[in-house]
Amino acid sequence: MEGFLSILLVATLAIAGTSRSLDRLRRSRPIAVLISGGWIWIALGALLGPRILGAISAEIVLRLTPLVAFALGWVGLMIGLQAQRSLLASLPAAVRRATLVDLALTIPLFGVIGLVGVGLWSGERDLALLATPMGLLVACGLGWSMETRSLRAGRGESDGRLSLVIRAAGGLAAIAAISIWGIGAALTQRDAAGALRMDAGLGALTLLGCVGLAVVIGALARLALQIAGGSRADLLTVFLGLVALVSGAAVNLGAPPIFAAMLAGMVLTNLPGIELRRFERFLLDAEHVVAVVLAILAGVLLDPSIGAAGALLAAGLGLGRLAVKPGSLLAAARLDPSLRRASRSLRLASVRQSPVALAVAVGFVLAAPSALSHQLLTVVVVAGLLSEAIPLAASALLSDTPMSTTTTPDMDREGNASAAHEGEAR
Amino acid sequence: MKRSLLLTLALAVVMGVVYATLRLAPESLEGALDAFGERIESTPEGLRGSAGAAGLLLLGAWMFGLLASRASLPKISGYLIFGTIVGPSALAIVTKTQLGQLQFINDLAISLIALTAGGEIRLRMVRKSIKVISLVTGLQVGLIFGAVTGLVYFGFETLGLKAVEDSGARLALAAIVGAIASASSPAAAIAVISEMRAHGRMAQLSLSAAVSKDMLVVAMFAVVISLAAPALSDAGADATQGAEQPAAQVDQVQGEAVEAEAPPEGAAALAAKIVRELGVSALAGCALGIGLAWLVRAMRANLPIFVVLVCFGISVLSEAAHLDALIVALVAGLMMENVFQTRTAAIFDTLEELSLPVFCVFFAVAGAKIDLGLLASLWPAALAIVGVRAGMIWLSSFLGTRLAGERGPAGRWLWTAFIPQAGVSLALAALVARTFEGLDVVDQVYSLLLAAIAIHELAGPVLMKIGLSRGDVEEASEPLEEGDISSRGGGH
Repeated sequence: MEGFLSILLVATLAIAGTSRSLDRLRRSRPIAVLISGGWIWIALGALLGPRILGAISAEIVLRLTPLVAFALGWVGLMIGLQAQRSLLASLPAAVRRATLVDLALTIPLFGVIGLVGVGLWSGERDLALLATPMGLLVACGLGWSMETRSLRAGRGESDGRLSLVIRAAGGLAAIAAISIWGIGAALTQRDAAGALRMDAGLGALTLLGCVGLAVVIGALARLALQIAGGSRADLLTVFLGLVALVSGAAVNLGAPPIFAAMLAGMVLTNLPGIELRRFERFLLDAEHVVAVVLAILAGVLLDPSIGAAGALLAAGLGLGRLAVKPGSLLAAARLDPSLRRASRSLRLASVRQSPVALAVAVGFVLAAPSALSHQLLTVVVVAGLLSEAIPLAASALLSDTPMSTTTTPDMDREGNASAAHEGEAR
Repeated sequence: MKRSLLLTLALAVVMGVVYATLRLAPESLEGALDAFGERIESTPEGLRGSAGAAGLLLLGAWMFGLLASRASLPKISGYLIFGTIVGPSALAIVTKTQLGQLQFINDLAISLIALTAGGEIRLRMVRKSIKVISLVTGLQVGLIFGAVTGLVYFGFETLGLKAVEDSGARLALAAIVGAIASASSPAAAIAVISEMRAHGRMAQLSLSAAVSKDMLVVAMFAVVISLAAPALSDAGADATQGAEQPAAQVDQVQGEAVEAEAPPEGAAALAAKIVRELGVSALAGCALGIGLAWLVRAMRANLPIFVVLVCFGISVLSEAAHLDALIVALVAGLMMENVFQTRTAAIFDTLEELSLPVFCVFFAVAGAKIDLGLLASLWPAALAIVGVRAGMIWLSSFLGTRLAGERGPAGRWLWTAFIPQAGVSLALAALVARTFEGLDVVDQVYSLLLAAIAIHELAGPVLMKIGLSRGDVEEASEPLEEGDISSRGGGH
């Protein structure tokens, strides 16, 4: 009973949170950031959670694992569906450059921060035990928030182009982040005594299992969607069934549902002869509600007792973002000089943490609920909050002269190609 | 043929995926430590596997339902049979503990089905047909209750039940079986009517009568079980617990057991309590219907999720407030359809879309709970109850329609709509088992009930489909009256 009261509460807030009446509030830039970044929902979750009001307990959230796994599968499938071959091939070079530089800079830096930070925090020296938290922090560090509306100083061409690069590269980086998390989770196995160990052989088998699962789900989906035809009820049933099946099977395999579902989405979107437009429309319609639900659940699962060590780790991650993320956009600007004329506040948009980080961290808590997982989730949230504050402050302090409002056909084409990566609130 | 083969192959793949991933599942994390040296919390048994089980039941049942329809069976029969195949008593791909974790789908389904059922009932038609509905409902409950009670009372040992010396206790048990046998399944009725897109008189009559019958049976059951408790306590049941709790637990027929209130003294007081609760539930349903009609425009963008939320809300809040979720949802649906039809059309369109996945899982879970071993050992006794019940259903429908002057095809085939049993009957049976836990003969009665309900679950929808197809085909040639046909398209 308690569990379902919790679902009711969370879902009511999610529905209210995505209603049009809140759109008026988004006119204020700080409010827009708070809402678009999900921070207000995380705060609400924390308020309702066991530490403050106790309306929703962490145990109840864990008992709702199947539903949360479904929500994570939903997110993964949505992200995977964007990885269409033709779409990826048409991405501008600047987008690919930004993503590659982000990967090259973030992985080593956040890997070191994660390894050293968690190592000092826990006093642990065993690499097998530290690998998973390190992998989590790397995955959460990749990419950035794709929402740019709250930071755009003007409507000039450069701002428009940079926004598209941010959205497209952010989407690519989300795929990379989930892939790294999935691979890392697969390589870290437990032996019969429950101790963690790195096992490349078993990890490869698990990955193979995920890939096999994705291929099978993709083939199933093709058949099922053809049978469903134009019937909305049948399409809905197929979609819900596929997401539940892939996320459930991933949980059975011990793999992250978000990873397995992303792979399934990637297979599905590249299979010929499937009319996915209505499918995608349905996914996108519910995107914000699912995001709000995950943010509230993240708030409930927070454990503020991270202490000075955890706070320092979060600060390190936030500063790490400030150090390397602008570099990705600078690298992109070398291929497209017009990007340099974009507003300064927008150029710092890549500092903001990707919303995928929250989904990955929530999935980590559900996979292995313990003190560490709750506290690491808190570290990720705090780091994200810090990373959100920087561009917001910059936006408030720096004055950007609006550029001209002319647009070019190239920008329109990029807009079409990257529209599927849009993470802005509607 | 090719499509059937592809569907069969796809089904095998779906089952194989879940089976394989379950077999490859890593060991439980219980006892493992994290990097802080803290223990990783254990999760309830069956929780992790239930996500995959839900996917299997949903997608697999949908596919099997399509196969069933190609064999001219109703799709819900396909959902039930699929659930039985993958359930604990057959292939055991879905386990009992996993089914326990999927109980929330039951709660969602009951509310959704009741909302849909309410939306299918036209008060104008009910007013015109009140005589036939009342007669059929009253006769059915009376005749089935009387006949089955008599069968069990006089054929106690013949049916394989352990002899009970005390005639009062024997009568009490017989009456409990009779009361549960009186119940039908509005859920199954809605599912078959929706699948066949039946709009005619028989569909309307069967739904109205099934719903009225359900309310009457629930009230009757509460009275029966309260009167039965003292008689059974003499037979050595856990009398204290049983005698104190039955009336309050009846409030939660659809959901989990809750803490019992102290029951009122006497059958009259009990009946008043039930009427009061049903009345309050109906009022709550009215308020809900008005609220939904007001909110629907604001929720257009997220209507499917809003509807799911409403269904959950009805289940959860009804339990908290000791209301009957079925009545609340039913009256809300009635209110929306008959008072705010234009405003709430979008809600019913959404309900129609959502009903398919919900039916798939709901009936697949019901099928998975069928105990084939039990059925194999008790089928003769169960068949006796099934036969007597079916006979009384036919007789009461025949008499009721004749006395009300209902001469059309709907009257001839109406009886088929009351054969199916599902959720309500199972919940009442489970309530009996819980209330009188510890008494061996009650366990036997419970098993017998499950076996009979299983037969009704499997055979009932098939019969109803036959009845609807013959009733509606003949119905189509008769002139239709304004207001009898839904203004919505599709399955409404």
